[in-house]
Amino acid sequence: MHRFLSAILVILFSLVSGCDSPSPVEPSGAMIKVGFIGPGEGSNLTQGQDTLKGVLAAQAILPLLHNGDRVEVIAGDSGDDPAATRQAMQKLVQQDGVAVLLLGLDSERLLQVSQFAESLQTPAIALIATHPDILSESVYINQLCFDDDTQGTVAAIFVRDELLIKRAAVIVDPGESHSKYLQMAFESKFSSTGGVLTGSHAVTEVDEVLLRQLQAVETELLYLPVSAQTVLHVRSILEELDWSPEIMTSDGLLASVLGKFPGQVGNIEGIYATDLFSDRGDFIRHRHLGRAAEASFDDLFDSEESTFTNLGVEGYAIAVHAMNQCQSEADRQCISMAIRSIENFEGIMAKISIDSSGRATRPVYVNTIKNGLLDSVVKVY
Amino acid sequence: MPNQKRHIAFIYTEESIGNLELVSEHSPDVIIQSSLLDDFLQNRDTLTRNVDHIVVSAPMAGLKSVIRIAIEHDLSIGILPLKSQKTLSRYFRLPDDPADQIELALQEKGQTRDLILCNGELVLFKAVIGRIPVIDLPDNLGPWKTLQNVLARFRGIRLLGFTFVTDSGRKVETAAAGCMIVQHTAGSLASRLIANDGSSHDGMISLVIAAPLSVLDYFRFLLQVLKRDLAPGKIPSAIGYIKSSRVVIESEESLGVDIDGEEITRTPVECEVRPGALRVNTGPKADAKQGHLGDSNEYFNIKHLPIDNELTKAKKKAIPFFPYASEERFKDLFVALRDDARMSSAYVMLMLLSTLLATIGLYQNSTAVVIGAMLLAPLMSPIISFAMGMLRQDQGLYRHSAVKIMIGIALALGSAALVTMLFPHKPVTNEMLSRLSPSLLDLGVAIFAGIAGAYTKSYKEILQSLAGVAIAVALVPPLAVAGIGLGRGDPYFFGQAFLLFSTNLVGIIVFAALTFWMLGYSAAIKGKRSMGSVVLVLALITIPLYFTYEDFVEKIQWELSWQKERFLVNGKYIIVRKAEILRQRDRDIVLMDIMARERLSRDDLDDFKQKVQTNFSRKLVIRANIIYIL
Repeated sequence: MHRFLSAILVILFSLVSGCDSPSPVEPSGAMIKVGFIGPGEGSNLTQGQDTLKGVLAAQAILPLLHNGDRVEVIAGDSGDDPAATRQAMQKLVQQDGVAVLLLGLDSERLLQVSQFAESLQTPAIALIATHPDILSESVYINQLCFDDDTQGTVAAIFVRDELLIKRAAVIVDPGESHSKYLQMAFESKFSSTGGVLTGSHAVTEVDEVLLRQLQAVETELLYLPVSAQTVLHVRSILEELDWSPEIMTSDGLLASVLGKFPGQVGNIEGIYATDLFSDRGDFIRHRHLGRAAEASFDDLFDSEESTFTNLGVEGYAIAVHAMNQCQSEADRQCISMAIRSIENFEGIMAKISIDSSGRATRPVYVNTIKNGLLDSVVKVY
Repeated sequence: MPNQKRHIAFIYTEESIGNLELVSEHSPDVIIQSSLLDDFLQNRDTLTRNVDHIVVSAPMAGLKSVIRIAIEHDLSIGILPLKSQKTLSRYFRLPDDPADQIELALQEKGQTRDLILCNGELVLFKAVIGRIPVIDLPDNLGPWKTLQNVLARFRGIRLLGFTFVTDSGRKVETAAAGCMIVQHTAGSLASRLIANDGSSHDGMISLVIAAPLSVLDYFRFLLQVLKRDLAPGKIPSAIGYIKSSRVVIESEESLGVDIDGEEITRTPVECEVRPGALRVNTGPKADAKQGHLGDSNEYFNIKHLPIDNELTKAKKKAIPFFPYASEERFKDLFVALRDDARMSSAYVMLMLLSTLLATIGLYQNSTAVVIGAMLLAPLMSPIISFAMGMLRQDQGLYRHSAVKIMIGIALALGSAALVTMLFPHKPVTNEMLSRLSPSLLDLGVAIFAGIAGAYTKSYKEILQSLAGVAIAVALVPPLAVAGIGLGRGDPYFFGQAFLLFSTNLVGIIVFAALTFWMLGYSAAIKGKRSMGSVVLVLALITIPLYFTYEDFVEKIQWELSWQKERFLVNGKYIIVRKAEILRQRDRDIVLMDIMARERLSRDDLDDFKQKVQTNFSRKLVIRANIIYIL
């Protein structure tokens, strides 16, 4: 009797414990290459390094395809100019024979080389760039982030409907396409929802006089889709003026400050920012990929995770997922199709879908920066 | 009348030679014949001739020898204690001042006291056999020292078989850690335990028996001792008490008998009283109290000692952690439990009424009516009886209660199914839905209800709380919902509600049984098979509950998170104000209050639904209440 009961228990336990664990994949001995390209020098060095770290952390948890082929990550330096980027891309595709390109370039850099990338006829995932034009007439390039249209619109609606702010001013970097697009999206939605724009100025105009003028016209919020450096600059002038309007910025602000100006994190405290991730909040449910990547990242690196590292993890995981869908993992057409068919892929913190044009749909977090962390306010699907 | 001088023999040793001069100086009216102890013992007949009284100052063995001689020659005795003989001073209430001691020792007439002999050996204060907890300690020992003694004596404590035969021929067979004959009734914990009963001139022996049946029993007793919480006349649970003029003590294995601090003889031991055999000069307060528990008759208080089949378990190597008991100890409780387990027409009627009430209340979606049905429900009592039956391996008790429970279940399922089939409309109400998602939390409720049920049943004064317990665990409504599921022909409905009922049932049984066990109701002899089976069922039931608990946690998380989640649908911003998820067999129903500033078209709502659906693996039905903010 006891033996019988014990046997039942053992069987049940095996069933329960075995439910969630897939059978291990045996290495086939073959290898497939994934190329990463990002800045190895220059002002965006930290951004490139962090994104690559994310890719490597993901590679450690997903080293094999379902058929047992090992995935090798080959990193290339995008350099500081478009020519160097093109050269690095060409090397990865033509010499190294990578099946997928992971592009750790911001919108400005990627827009400069997007046509060339298309000409390489290799599926590519833009890990950081959010400018919608990256996808214009694209067949092979795909976005991992939400685009600037969505981001600017969410920022404007949040300001109007959640913060109930009527008067806002925008400061834009005219040399950055990403910044200009966000300005346009924000201003359009803000105005259409009854908001009053009290000013729209280039970063070069920012000084004490300009900000005094904006204060004088009862500006309640400053929308700053600009670099971290400019945000810090604006904040310092505001402190001198003893004026504290609400500030809304765009994605990657905290990650950039942590990377480039770690000593000044306190100066961005309380700022609102749209982002792809959040560090805290009741609704943050760490999914399987997030938990595994966190552990892998901690094993491999001493530094902190950031928006960029998370994007590296997600980009690599999507590439592997797409390659697993194809009979031949080197079939670039198939991989490209598979990427553009992704629906509800479990990302680090949310589900990601990529449509046939390469555009990603995923939630936008509106966070406040609190104690050096992204504290979620709302999550917009 | 001329004052005739008395002849007193003063017996001393080298140790007490200092008293010689003091005694001589102090007594001008007496003639002192001083002798060293050894000389006295060798020439006892000569040296006691013409002597009226003996004063002795000697170590214990010598003192006892002198006492024997005094008794032989019908002489009274005075005692001058040595400095080290503090116990002697305390027991005979001798004064502290040497001059007063001498004055008392030289007095003419001693008080008459009984003399106890064990295997012919004189017992002045106490005789200890085996291990006794702390009862031979002085009464005035501080709590800390008492605790130290307690812990030291606890190590390796076990019960042995003992037989006590009294003068009347009554034989008591029991198991005990040890026993103690208390000669002098005042000044020790033992005497307080028996409420200072008996005296040294009642012709009786007071025998205190220590029998802690469990570790808990032992520590409960110690707590009483430390708190000095010994009510007069109420003997603690670990203690037995026998009073007789003669006791023969036999033990399962031969044990040393420690008489007045020295192991002198071994069991079997026969102890008898020589009433009034000793005349000794004692202090004014010594043994003034007369006995009250049976006076000079034999007296037995052995209700706390293990008897009958309890002996088998008691005589194991070590005492168990929890106590156990024979049915005789808790007769009233077992009578009530057997009554509860017996089938009756009232039970059938109440079961039917409560189920019908619950079924209608569920259809009405009326919490008040459902609670009314819970109050009527008679299922809790047979379940508690079943738990006790299982714990004690009492086949009669658990079979009867099992039959009663099963009949109750069948009645409830049948009547609820019948009502459902007769009802033309079969709405699914929130009261029903709330009973379709049993989780580990429900098991938690059942656990505490089981504990509370057993506890309230154990104490008459709180028995009225059982109704509250029945409400907390709500046995009949899940059964009624399961019956409704049967009536609807919906296996999911039935399965989920019956899982909830089973969770409650098994949880209550296991934890009521555990509670009875901890409260000391486990049988002296029992098997573990039944308990093991129910624990196994509990483990099996935990598996689906674990998964439903995960669902439950996820549901709570979703409901909470949606307070912060927004939707951007075709450029329109939708705020979710409130969301509730109801889990059904093949889909989840999401009830939402959503707010929007712009009018939402059907396409917008379709897109909204698609976005919500991405968060769920199961098919979703969304019922949205749209609030426009203008």
